[in-house]
Amino acid sequence: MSSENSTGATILPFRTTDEAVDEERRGFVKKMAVTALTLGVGGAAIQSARFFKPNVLYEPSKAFKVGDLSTFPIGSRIVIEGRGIEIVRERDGMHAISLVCTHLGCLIKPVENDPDIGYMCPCHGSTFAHKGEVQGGPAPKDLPWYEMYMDNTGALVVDTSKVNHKRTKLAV
Amino acid sequence: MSESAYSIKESIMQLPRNIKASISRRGEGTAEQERAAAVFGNMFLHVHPVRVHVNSLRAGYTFGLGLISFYLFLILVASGLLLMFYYTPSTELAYRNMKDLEYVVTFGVILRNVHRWSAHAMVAFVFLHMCRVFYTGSYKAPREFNWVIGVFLLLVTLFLSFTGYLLPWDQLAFWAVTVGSNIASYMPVLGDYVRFLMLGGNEVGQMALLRFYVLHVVALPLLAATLLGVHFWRIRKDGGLSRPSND
Repeated sequence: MSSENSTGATILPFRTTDEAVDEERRGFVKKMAVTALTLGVGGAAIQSARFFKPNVLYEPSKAFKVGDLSTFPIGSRIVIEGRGIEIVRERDGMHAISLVCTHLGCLIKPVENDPDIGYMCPCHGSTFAHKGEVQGGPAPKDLPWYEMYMDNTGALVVDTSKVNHKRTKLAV
Repeated sequence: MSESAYSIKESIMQLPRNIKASISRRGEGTAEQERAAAVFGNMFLHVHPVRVHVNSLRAGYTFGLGLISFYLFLILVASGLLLMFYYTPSTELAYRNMKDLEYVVTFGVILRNVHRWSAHAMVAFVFLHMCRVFYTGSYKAPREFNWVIGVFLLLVTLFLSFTGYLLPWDQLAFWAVTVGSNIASYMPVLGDYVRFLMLGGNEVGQMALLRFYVLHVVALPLLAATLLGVHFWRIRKDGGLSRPSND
């Protein structure tokens, strides 16, 4: 269908109606092919990214023993080292409170002998009341309490994967 | 030399010239052609244009901030490569390796400090470079694409600093990354997932150290080098360094 002009260059003719129809069909097939390829390759790529999510974690268990009842006399506040919690025992029961700042995860320090402030974060100065309510600083949330129970051997167990939303004390 | 009289002696005499010709890949030309060919015929020099506008050479316009950032990157690659000979990304050994570099390894303390201070300086100079580009309006068309590449380079520089910060495995490193990964978890919807993937777990431990190490010594430097290549290439394609149009 092509012709040559005087310079010898090839000039393509205008499309005929038949070819336009053909073009539509080709366009459709092309779109389908690109869609299938995108879904296939894209899906495979997204699934491959799961490689980076570890399936087994070698981290300490979230539920752990903190000791016998006798370790925690009435009126005591005892920090469990390396676990980021404090066990508080009062006359009406005991509870486990998180020592991980709700702002950016620093380890907060219990404050001794202060009527209002129970905890303070050394990183950005957040302060918390004795029950864990935010008193000041950038912390957005109160310190959570964790579920606590006594197992059949009489040891106290804290489970940091379960938050004690109602803030109930363990009666002992 | 005639075809019949091939002599070993003459071909040996010819050897140095042959070697030189194989490297320079060009014959004689005029003085100007020679000078141009010396630039674009050399892989390391060809990044630079053969001719530059006299205003591009005014030191007070760019202060050479981009080039200084690039040289700091080269220093960091070289010193980092040497540090890798003595560093192990394990929670048991990392801190001790770092202390050994400071007290036991010959020139180790210099090496570690060169790496550390160059890293700080690179962040500062990349930032100053960005300020210069902004104040001279060099981010405007046709250089807007290169500005975006530059923003990515700034981010890569910051991620390199952040990942390198964990590697000494001291208290500063541990808490800085605890805080940093918690900042990432404030991201809407994906936050906690990003933190988990970044640390390879729920807390800063062995998996986090290994991940940060791989990012720090392989992934991010490769990304930085690639983006640097595009960044430099685009300077040429976008019409050279921006400069005052007249004196």
